[in-house]
Amino acid sequence: MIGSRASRFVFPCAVLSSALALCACPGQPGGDGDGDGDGDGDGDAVWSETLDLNENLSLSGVWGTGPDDVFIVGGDDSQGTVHHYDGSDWEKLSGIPDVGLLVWAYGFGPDDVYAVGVGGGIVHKTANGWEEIDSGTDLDLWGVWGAATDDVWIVGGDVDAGDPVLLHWDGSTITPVVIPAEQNPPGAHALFKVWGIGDKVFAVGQYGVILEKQGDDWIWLDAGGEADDDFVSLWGTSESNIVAVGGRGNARIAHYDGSTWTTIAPSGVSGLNASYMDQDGYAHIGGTFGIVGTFDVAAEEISYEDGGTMFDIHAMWGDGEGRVYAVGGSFYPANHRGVALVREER
Amino acid sequence: MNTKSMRMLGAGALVMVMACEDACPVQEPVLDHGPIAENVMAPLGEIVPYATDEQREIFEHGQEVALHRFSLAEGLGPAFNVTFCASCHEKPVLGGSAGLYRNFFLGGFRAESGAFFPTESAGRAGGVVRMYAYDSSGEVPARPAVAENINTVAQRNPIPFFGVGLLAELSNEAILANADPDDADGDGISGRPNYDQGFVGRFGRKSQTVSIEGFIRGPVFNHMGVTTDPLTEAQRAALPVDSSGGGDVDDGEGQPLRTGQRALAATLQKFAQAAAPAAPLTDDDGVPDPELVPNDLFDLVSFAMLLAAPPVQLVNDETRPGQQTFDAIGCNACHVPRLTGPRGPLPVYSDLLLHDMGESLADGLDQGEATASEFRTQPLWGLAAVGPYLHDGRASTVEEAILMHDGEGKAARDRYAALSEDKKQQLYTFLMSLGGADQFSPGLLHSDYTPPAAGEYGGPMRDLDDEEQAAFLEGARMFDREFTFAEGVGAPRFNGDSCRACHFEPTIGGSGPRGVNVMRHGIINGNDEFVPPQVGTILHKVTRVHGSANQPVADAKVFEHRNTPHLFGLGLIDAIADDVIIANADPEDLVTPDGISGRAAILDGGRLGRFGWKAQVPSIAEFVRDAVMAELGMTLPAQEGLTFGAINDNDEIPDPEMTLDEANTLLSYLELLGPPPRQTPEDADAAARGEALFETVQCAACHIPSLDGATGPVPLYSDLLLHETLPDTMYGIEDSAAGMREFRTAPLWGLSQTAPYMHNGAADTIAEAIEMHAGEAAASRDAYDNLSAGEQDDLLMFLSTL
Repeated sequence: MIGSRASRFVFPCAVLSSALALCACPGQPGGDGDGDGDGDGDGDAVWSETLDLNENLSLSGVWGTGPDDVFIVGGDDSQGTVHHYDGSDWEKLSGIPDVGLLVWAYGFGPDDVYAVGVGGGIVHKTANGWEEIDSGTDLDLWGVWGAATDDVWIVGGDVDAGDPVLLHWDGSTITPVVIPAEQNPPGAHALFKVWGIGDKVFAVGQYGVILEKQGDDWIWLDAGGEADDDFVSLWGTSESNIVAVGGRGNARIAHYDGSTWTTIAPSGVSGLNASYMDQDGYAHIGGTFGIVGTFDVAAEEISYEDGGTMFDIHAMWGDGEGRVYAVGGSFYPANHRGVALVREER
Repeated sequence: MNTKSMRMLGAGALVMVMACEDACPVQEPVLDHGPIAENVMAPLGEIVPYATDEQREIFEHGQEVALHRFSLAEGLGPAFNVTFCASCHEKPVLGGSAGLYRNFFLGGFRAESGAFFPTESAGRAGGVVRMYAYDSSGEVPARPAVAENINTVAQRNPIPFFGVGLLAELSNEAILANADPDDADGDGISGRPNYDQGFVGRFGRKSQTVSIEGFIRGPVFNHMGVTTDPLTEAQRAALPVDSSGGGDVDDGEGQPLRTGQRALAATLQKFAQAAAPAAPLTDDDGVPDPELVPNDLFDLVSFAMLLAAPPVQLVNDETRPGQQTFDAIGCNACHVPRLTGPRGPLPVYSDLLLHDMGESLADGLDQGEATASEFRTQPLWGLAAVGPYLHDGRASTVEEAILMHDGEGKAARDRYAALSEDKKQQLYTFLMSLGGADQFSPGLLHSDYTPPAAGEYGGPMRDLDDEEQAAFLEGARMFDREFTFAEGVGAPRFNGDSCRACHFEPTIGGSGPRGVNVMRHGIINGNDEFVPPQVGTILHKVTRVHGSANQPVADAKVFEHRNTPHLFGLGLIDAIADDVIIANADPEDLVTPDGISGRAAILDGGRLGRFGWKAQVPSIAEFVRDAVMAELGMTLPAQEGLTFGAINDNDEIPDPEMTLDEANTLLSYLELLGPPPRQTPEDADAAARGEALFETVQCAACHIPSLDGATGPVPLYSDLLLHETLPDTMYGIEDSAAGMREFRTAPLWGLSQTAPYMHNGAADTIAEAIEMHAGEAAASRDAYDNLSAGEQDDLLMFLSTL
């Protein structure tokens, strides 16, 4: 402490909470005008808390095979965690290898799930349980996706220095892929997510980088003048309908129409982290300060929804039967908190 | 896809949610600009009148934090620009702006797509180009390199903080009410908000930041390399401007609960101050993070929030004509007289919105949603005392600033230019009524400044008669005075805009912290020889040229900090006869074969060098001429017998830029500036033992306690000779007679008050400085190391008295 003063503040324990009434905001914008932003015009989607953690963990990734097989990954400084939903109850799984906070998950079946995280941690769930895969790096890994269990891509990197991490897993071996400088004009240090559909595979990351896998190469794509801030995640419904979101101070949303990525910077919207699509034309999005809502691709409008949380939303995933999960929290050392929400049609 | 229309679409949506149901009102002229909220104004730098006793205590400690010089051991760096907050917020008082010497560079990479990426500088720093580094790993040179892809560089002059807490209290609607992004009213003035984290930005030259916490944590890291954690929810709730998120607070750990009352992003606008970045900042300098402890950060943020609004006068008979001209020529279209917050109307004289200021002012940088030519309307409250003006300080005067308005401001500028001189004077009178006029200083010394007495730091070397005292005061003011671009600062590069810019520790005339180090650089050729760059070895901090980041020559291999030495007692050193100094020389180590040589610095023309880290300057008169050119970038008339300085430079200002009278005023001041006073030791016996050890371990072989001067012994603790004191493995800068590893024995008088130490300022403490001695001083260092801990303490006690 610099110098001294005689006494310190005694911080109030609880303030403001009940005094804050949410404004009704009847005129919210929405793609279909109903305010729930799901495009169906019925205005009856609601968010609620789905997992009562009761411990200080961050929740950062969600993926599943269906309504009764959902995985949420997260953890704290020392240990990665996985919670599983079987359609009726959540269970914190045991037997997770000794890895740090798990950031993202993707899989190919109930017994074929990958999760990656900080410090280079990779875990793989098989019928025999969870096992650790040596990533060969101690840099943070932010995303995982694959076309098949023997064709998995993992991305990451240290956002402050060095080259982005891009790894390929063929079911037995991790192979690092070097991204040449000419395919990284802004000098990004990290890739945050990788995702694909059909013949298209994209990785997105720091400084607005979008790379497309073309043959054996990863090629940088110009996503326009607004692609000047981090892209954090992406999802789509077809090779011609993919949405990436990001931004730190202010949001960025990019749309791929099958040939071109186009980025917009919606004014007055803080950074976004999560994107999930289950129907053409609409993306579920989530971001800082608990933002949840949908993005109408054609109208280029965001419809806000009431997620009931002030924590950052980090990931989204839908179970194919109308439910969309959103997880997030606080992710900083010694301040791990988590929230898991589900959006359901009323 | 039309980007601009998309932006407006989004903005329109948000505005609608935020209850702007009626057409947004346009600012209409109000008689005399209307009333001002009570209890919000005070002289610049003072606390808001409504502060509680507890807040006043916090405010005082926040001032301490702002003035604290961070050492390397406390986490400064590894890369940085300055060492304390007040470096850039000092004018005319703590919390204000700063002179040109505190300008800094922002840069980035503009891709062909138009995307703009802030540059990295020894890591991510928000686009700030860092000028200094102390990196023991050697990975980052003393002048960090900018990213190879940088193609856009701009300068920023520091921004004043007065009244920022009141601006933080403004609702988004209060700012958006003046927005007219599509110029619907057809007046040629648009005005659109910037956004930060989804909230209407209000701080920074481009309104790129919404939260004061964010506006402090960012620069503390970017400019000082000092890491912080975000304030907790409980701390934010306790700030003078409630910055909590409105959620429940966990009374166990002070963190917010998982779910709270905040839901729709649009409802959060009431809580814009909660939008400070949530990420801890970290670095790898070996000092545990956070380097600024949370309570100190809390007090620093509180201090800023509690700074009163500048004392704007209500319009009166004297100022009304100017006010009416202000309105008539359209200044009020952007410099909106009042913004209304919860405490009432605030005389901000800004709409806090972005305006396109045209190509001539465009800086090329995107910040938030602001484009290369867009800037926030700078608040005019406190105008009189916070020059230079405009985002990069290019305007030396208010009138220059007006005449440099372009873009949306061009029409008002042209109307100003067409005014009669009487009208211009009336307008000036009005502008000077917006606060700060009675606190204006051409430097940092205030109008009531009185020099310290003889025997005190910064005082004269003896008691002065009235005439001498007046001359000494005039000299101090000249030493303190900040020169402007209009007066010729920059050639085009420069380090300071005044002598005081670098010499102010512990008082005017003293040494300087690391943030005003002079950087030297050079080339090492294939024969391991030093080659000076054609531009000279000085690698300046600032330039009057737009678009340059003052980068080194491409093949520079060696960079060397030069910490600012104090100037106390310079006149006594100047009067020491050459023979006295040369008498101690032993260049071949033959006279006293003790491993210590000592070489006189014989300069061009056979003159003996005695000033500067390399004894590269022969006299005070030359020292003044050298500094005026090398540091300020200003020309002087030729003077018989003097060779330093320059009579011409390549800026557009007619030469000479400084008069001989002004230079002689500086010279007289330095000749009269007294030596540093000895300090009373905490333990006199220990200091006496230490003084004996000073001889025993051979410190005194170079740091000779005194030399005979013109009027008696001069206790400077130096032989003023050159010695090799760098390790063989290190490269330095050749300078005049001094080789790469040679330095003049630094005088030790004033030691206790003039940290950091060594030529490069690498030592936080005297003990560290001793350990950094090498070459000829290695034996003495080893002897010190072989002392017992108690003996070392004694020696340090003695040194602390100097």
